[in-house]
Amino acid sequence: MLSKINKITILVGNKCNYKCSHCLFSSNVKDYVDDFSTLISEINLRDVNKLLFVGGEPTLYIKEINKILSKIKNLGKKEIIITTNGWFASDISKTEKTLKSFIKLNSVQMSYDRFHMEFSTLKKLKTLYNACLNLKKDFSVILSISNIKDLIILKKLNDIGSFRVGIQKVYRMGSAFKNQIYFKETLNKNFILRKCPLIKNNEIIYIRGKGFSFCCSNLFFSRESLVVYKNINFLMRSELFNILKKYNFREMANKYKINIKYNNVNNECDICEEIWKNQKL
Amino acid sequence: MKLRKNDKVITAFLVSLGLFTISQAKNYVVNLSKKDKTLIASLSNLNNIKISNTQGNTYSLAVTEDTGTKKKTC
Repeated sequence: MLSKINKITILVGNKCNYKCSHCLFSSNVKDYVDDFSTLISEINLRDVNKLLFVGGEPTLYIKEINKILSKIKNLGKKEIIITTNGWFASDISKTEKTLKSFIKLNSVQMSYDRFHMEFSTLKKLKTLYNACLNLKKDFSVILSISNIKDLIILKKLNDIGSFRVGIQKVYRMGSAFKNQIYFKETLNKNFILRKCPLIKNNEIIYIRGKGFSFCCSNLFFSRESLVVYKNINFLMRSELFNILKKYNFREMANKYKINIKYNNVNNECDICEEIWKNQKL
Repeated sequence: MKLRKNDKVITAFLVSLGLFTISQAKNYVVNLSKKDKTLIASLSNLNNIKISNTQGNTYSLAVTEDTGTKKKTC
């Protein structure tokens, strides 16, 4: 057995039926052709605990997801999670039918915030929550915020039921950058004293048609060739992966003599990009 | 900087979510209107949902998994 991986996040396709103004990806981008054979063999080679399917909208790709799941060994021991916009939750029976159509599904995370509210409703969230309760699936909400006042939605969520809500800042990327709706507060300086959370937590991303990445943030968009690899072995042998594994963000900046201008960055991923965008590796 | 009770509640809440450091939160709170302060302070005692920061701070497609912890440090 090769190295243990806690989680692989699988970007199964770009298609989405919502057009959220803060999204990282454009749903107009055509999906690359991918038979997912490399992904499946990597999952079967390694000890992977969790598979998180994201998009686009993963419920538009149930056929592809089931194709992947059907070929995974020891599927029973793995936790299968989706992050959905909940578009299908118009009534309880339709919602349960959609959830049951996955070969295996343990957890459902629904994205709900002021950006998704333009397309979705609290009623759908409630329906999806109830369907998950009925089917004994874990349910949680992902709430993206571009300012603190966006947290007000928490009150409405609290009235619906008892579940977890994960809060995340909207970062300066994709449509959020284009539309200037990212979280504009300055960097929490405590965070530069830690290592990249993704690498520290043994998490990897798979991007349909492209391969495996250890970055899902700025470098993925600005220097894809530096962070995307055809297989996990190449990824783990790459210079940048090993540097990120060894050093925290401040140590990296010192090592590569980068003067971090704190006013220009609002998260550690911005720092990482500043360090690496012009470095030759 | 001296904070009132509500300000302290909001500061603690924002710091516990990993959204700000203490000094950032204090600076943020003093500039809020009274109405906003009341609204945000009321969020700190919601007892049905469990609020966490998805992964300390990082936003990405990969970290959109709530850890279920009240306070998550990475």
